[in-house]
Parts: sequence; C-alpha cells; structure tokens
Amino acid sequence: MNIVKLLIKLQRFFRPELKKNKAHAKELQNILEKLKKKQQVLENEILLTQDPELIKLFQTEHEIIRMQYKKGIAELHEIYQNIKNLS
Amino acid sequence: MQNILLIIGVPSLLYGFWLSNDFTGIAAGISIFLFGMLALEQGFNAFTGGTLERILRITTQTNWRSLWFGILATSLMQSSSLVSIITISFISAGLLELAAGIGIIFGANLGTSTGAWLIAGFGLKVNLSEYALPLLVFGILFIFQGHKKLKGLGYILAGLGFLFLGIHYMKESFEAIKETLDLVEYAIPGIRGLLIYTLMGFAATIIMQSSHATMVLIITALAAHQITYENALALAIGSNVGTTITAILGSLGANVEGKRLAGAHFLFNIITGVLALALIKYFEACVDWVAQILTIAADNYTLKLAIFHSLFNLFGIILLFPFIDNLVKVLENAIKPAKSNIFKPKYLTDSAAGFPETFVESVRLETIHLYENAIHIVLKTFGLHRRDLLDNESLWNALQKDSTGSYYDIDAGYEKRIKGIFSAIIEFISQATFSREMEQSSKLYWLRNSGRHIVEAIKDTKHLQKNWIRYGRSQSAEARDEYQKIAFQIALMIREIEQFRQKIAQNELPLLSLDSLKSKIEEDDLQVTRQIEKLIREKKITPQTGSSLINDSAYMYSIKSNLVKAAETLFLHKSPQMFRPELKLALDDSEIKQVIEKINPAYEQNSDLN
Repeated sequence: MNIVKLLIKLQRFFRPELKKNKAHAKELQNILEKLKKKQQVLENEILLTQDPELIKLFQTEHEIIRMQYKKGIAELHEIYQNIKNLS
Repeated sequence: MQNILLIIGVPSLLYGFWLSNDFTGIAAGISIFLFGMLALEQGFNAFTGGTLERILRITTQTNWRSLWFGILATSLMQSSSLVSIITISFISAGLLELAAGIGIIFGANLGTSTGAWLIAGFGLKVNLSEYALPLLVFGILFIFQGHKKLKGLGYILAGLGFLFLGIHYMKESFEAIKETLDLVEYAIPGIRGLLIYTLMGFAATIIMQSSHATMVLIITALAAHQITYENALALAIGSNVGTTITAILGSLGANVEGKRLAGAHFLFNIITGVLALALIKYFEACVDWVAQILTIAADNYTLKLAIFHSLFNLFGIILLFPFIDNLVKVLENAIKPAKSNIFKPKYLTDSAAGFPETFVESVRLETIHLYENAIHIVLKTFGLHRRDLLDNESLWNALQKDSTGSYYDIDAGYEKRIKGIFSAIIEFISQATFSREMEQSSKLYWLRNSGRHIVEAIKDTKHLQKNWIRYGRSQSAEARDEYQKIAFQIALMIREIEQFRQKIAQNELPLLSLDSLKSKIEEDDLQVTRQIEKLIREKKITPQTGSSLINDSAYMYSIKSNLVKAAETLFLHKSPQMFRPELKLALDDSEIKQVIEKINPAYEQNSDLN
C-alpha cells in the first residue's frame, strides 16, 4: 500500500474534527441545493400569479429563503476555512 | 407478599444454617450469584445512555431483527430480566412497537439458555474462583473511577466475578453435601415428580427473581448428582415459567403497552412450558439425538439439560413466532387501556423513567398532551372547536356565530387541564437521575421551556379574553370585527401548526419552513397595527378602543409566538441531530423583521411607533 495514502488515512483517523467538518459541509451543501430549488419554484410562481396577495406571500417566502441561503453560504465558507486549517 | 416471604424465609434460613454448613454454602453461593447479577445489570445500565437505545432502534425494524436482538442482547448481558425491562420501558414510551417487543422477548427466552450452556460447558469444568478474584479486583478498581463508562465496566467485571464466585460456592457445597446427605433419595419419578419439580422450579424462580440463578442451582445440583436428570428437566421448565413473574412485576409501573408485553411473555412461557411437559418424552429423545450429533457423552446430563432448555424455547419460538401479529391482536383485545383521563398525565410512568431516552420521550409526549389541552382552552375562549379549523369559511362562520362573546372559564380550564399535567412534568423532570452533560439533559431543558411557552400562551389568552367579551357585546361593529379578526388569526396559526405537524415527514426542510410561520406572525402584527391606526384616523373607533386593540394585538402576537416556539421543540426536537445543520440557517427574530421590512417598506416606521 502506498505509504502516503496510509499516512493520510492515519492522519484522518487521528483528526475526527476534519471528518466531522467535511460531513457537515456535505449536509449544508445538500440543504443549500434544496433551498435553491425552492427559490426557483417560488420565482416561477411569482411570474405566473396574478393575485397581489399571493404574490406578496411568495415574495416573503422567497426573501426568507434568500436570507437562509445567504447564511448557509457564510457557514459553508467558515467550514471550508476550518477544513483548510486542519488539513 | 414480600413480607410473608420474609417472615417464612428468615427463620427457615436460620434453621438451615444451624443444621448444615453446606446448606449455608449453597445459600451464600446463590446470594453472591444474585448480587453479581445486580452488579452486572448496573454495569450494563451505564451503557444505556444512548448506545443501547440506538442499537435497539436500528435492530428492531422487523420481527426477525427483534428476535435476533433478543437472543444476542440476552446472551451478552446474561440477563433476560434486564432485556425485558428495557423493552417494557421502550414500549411504554412509544419508541417500540408491541410486535417488535414480543420478538425481543421470544429471543430473550432463547438467549437466556446460553447461560446454561456456559455453566454446563465451561463453569463446571474449570475452577471459576481463580477467575473470580482478579475480576473482582479489576472491577472494584474501575468502580472507583470517575468516568461513567469505566464505572459501568467496573460493575460488569465485579458482577462477573461475583457470578463466578457464587457458582464456585454452590458447586463446592453441593459436592460436600453429597458426603452427608443424598438428595437423590428424595427424587420423585413419573408424572407426579414432573409436576412437583416444575412447581418447585417455578417457586424458586419467583423467590430468587432470576431464572438464571435457578438454572445455575439446578445445573450445580445435577453435576453433584443431588437431583435426577428427569427432575432437573422439570425444574428447568418451572423456572422458565417462573421468570415471567419478574416481567409481570416490571410491567406494573408500565402503561397498557408494557402490560401487553408482559402478557405476551407470560403466554409464551406458559404455552412452551405446558408443551414441554406434555411432550417431555419426545423432547428427551430429541435431546439425546442432538447430544449424539454434538458428540456429547450420554451421561453428561448438565450439557443435556442445556440442550433441553434451548430446544423447548426454540420449539416455542418456531410455534409462536409466525403468529406474533395475531398475538398482538389478542393482547390488544384482552388488555384494554384504562379510560383515558385528559386531565391527568398519560405518559409519565415509572417504567418510562428507567432509561434516559425513554425518559425524554415520555416527557415529550406528555408535553404534547399539555399542548393539546392548551389548544382546547385557547379555542374554547373564542367559542371554537377543533372541527371549526377545517377551512377559513367554517372558521369565520363559527366566530360570527359566537359574536356575542360567550364566556369560557379559563381559570377552571387551567386548573383542570394544565396545572396538574405541567406540575407532574416538572416533578418528573426533577427526578431525572442521568448526568447533566448528557444530550438528554439539554432535550429536557428545551421540553421544560416548551411547557413554559404553553402556559404563557394560556395566560395571554386570559388577558385577551376580557376585551374579547367586552367588545363582542359592543355596539361598535368595527371594534367587534377587529376582535374577531384577532381570534381568527390565532385560530389560523393553530391550524397552520397542525398542518406543519402532520406534514413533517414529507417536509424536506421542516425547521427552516418554520421561519415562514414566524414571519407570518410579524406580518399579521403589522397589518393589525396599521388597520387600528386607520380606524382611529377615520374615527371609526375611539382612541380608547384603539389602545385596547393595540394591547390585545400584542397578546395575539405573544400567543402565536409561544405556540410556534412550543411546537418547534415538541415536533422537531424528537431527533435534534437530524435538524442540526438546518439550525444554523434558521433566521432569528431580527432577521425575520428584516424580511418584513423589505417586503413592507413602511414597517420600520411602524416598529418605531410601537
């Protein structure tokens, strides 16, 4: 077995934080994808709807998701920074 | 019952000790063995703070898996009682289905026979006291450690040490008694012997509360030729039936599901016992055949007893396992739940308090019960019922019907439906014995807070009720209309929480979707405030009425916020680890306000006015 690979594996074994951060990043990416999809659906709904009350409702929902997404991106950057520092 | 046993038992034991030193040795052996089992159970309890529960959840998704869990867990822990108690606790807290619980109990019956195999195959051949002493030393060393898991390991080692020492004493004393007394002379042949010794095995297990201890006693006596093989078989059958008494006693503090499980345990052991007695000759032949295959000597009766114990339990499983679902139906019909009293706690049972995970789940279920009662009070205050929540039209019509503002006694409702349950929850939580650092402690903290939010919502409803009644009878149609809108919005929020609760499983991001409900509360508050200002400006309501409405819209805001906060904990925190990544993205109050500001540009100005 390649010594470098073995060393990397050992290093990972002794650094559970790294593994944890990577798993967390993956989970966050998954959530962000779902949020993006929801955002797109809402954008289409806003374009198709005539009712002003409903448009406002969709806009509020869209704005909430936009802010959640923004927070998610900031969190993801922080995790990537942690991963960079750990590896 | 225990007192009677004590009154008869103590003098009998004293007489026995006076009569024979060997009898003292046997009694001491049993006591040390039982003490070892207690230590072993305590040791395994240290690992029930999550690990065991997680394994239990994963491994009980099908009846087959439950059966295997029962076999393996009992073989490993050497205690079917501990496995039964864990299962009853999980069933009582609603974390396990009855069918899965029955599977575990069936498996535990087979798993318990591994003890007989270990003692007959290994325990009698080696000098166990040599192993017992180092185990005791290491056990005690670990018990004195501060770490919970190390302490648990210490109890397990010390428990094993005591078990070995107990077996050693029993073995030695039976060997010694042989020289002065031959108990085989008292052997009873035939059916009479079969029945009498079955009863003796049954009674011995009830007294010792452990079929494992009875089996060890039988095996050591059999090894010392103090009982005949036929009588030993009967004793084993009796002990197997007697062990159900432990489960029945354990289920006394459980809810109806726990009682049904104890019923299943009793039925399984009774049916297997009766069949084993009726077919004993066939079983004996079968044991000889298996012994031959396993190359066990024909006169190795201890191992043959272990084979017999496994065989008749296996027979019971083969016979009853395919009918678990039917058994569930029979038990559900036979053991009906006591008439539910909505004013009393339903889930805070002694049995559910046994393990951290079941403890937390029972508090969660009880707080949901509290929430349901609170919703009843809030709706009743506005003359509504749950059925009115079906759609907007029927909700509005129901509110219009009750426009005169019918009176509901909130204080009486609080005393009856809330106070008793909330106090019971607080008392129950205060009895939690598990460590403060555990994950379950933080869950309890959130659940207690959730209860507080529910109580706050009721208090706010009470404040709101005063003007709801006053303006419900008022001449001002505008004021009446505004109060109806307030009630309408509260009811609407209750309905939305209900819809959210029902669709959690389909919701991809349940925690984040709660932000929409929170923003709706802000938005509604803004709209109500604007409307009140408009009505005052147009002189449709007096400034006094306007100030009442502004105060009461604040109560509406508080009721809705408290209900959403309670729901967030109750319906999402069942498995917080699932929502942990979402938690980081959820918006806080100021961020929600920012959203509303952006959508309603005049919001900031209004907030400043408030």
